[in-house]
Amino acid sequence: MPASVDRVEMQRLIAAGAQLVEVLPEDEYTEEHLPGALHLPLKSLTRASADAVLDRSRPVIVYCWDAL
Amino acid sequence: MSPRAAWRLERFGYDPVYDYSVGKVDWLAAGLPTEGTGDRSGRVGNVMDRSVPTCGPDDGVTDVVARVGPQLCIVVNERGIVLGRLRLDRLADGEARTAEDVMEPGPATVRANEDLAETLERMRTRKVGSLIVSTPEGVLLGVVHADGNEPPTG
Repeated sequence: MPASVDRVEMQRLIAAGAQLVEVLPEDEYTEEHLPGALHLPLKSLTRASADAVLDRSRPVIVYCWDAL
Repeated sequence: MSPRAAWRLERFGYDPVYDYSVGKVDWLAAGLPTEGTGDRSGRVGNVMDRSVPTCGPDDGVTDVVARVGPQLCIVVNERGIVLGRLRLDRLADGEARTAEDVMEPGPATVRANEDLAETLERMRTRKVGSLIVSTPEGVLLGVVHADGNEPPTG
């Protein structure tokens, strides 16, 4: 079960090597994203698209706009 | 959206997968830097005054006045959480009390990602000269002033 993390924990995980992934659409990612974030839009998220972007050996943190 | 993405990635075999569920808006509200092509100049965080004087709740008012002069001072705890606001220009001389005794508790705050033009208009309507900018957790980031912080034009 994916664990929810707050900003402080997220920053700690990134410092420890986690990958940060924005799952919003292309235009929103292009306009503004968190530093170093990769992009995997939810609407086109498949095993192949994930494997093309992510490193399976490292933890993954996903985010979108807010909790709603 | 991100919980569904997290579940899908976990199903694809990624482990561990975490969800920063409060998302980009939380990051922006904390005044943290971002990347991308968008224009961020119209946000409160872009013009806020980060050098606003602060003091602790147990600091003597006389000492605070001596240190920062008769101006706005934000009372924060050891974690930087906003506790109150001191309007040192409105205090009677010689008050030997603590900041906590005379502060205005629970002052209004705004987030760094709020629209600057709307915030300034709200301040003018309510005749507010300055407004505290804090993170969603209440940590002081700075102050936005009604004067001298005009939104960008054009």
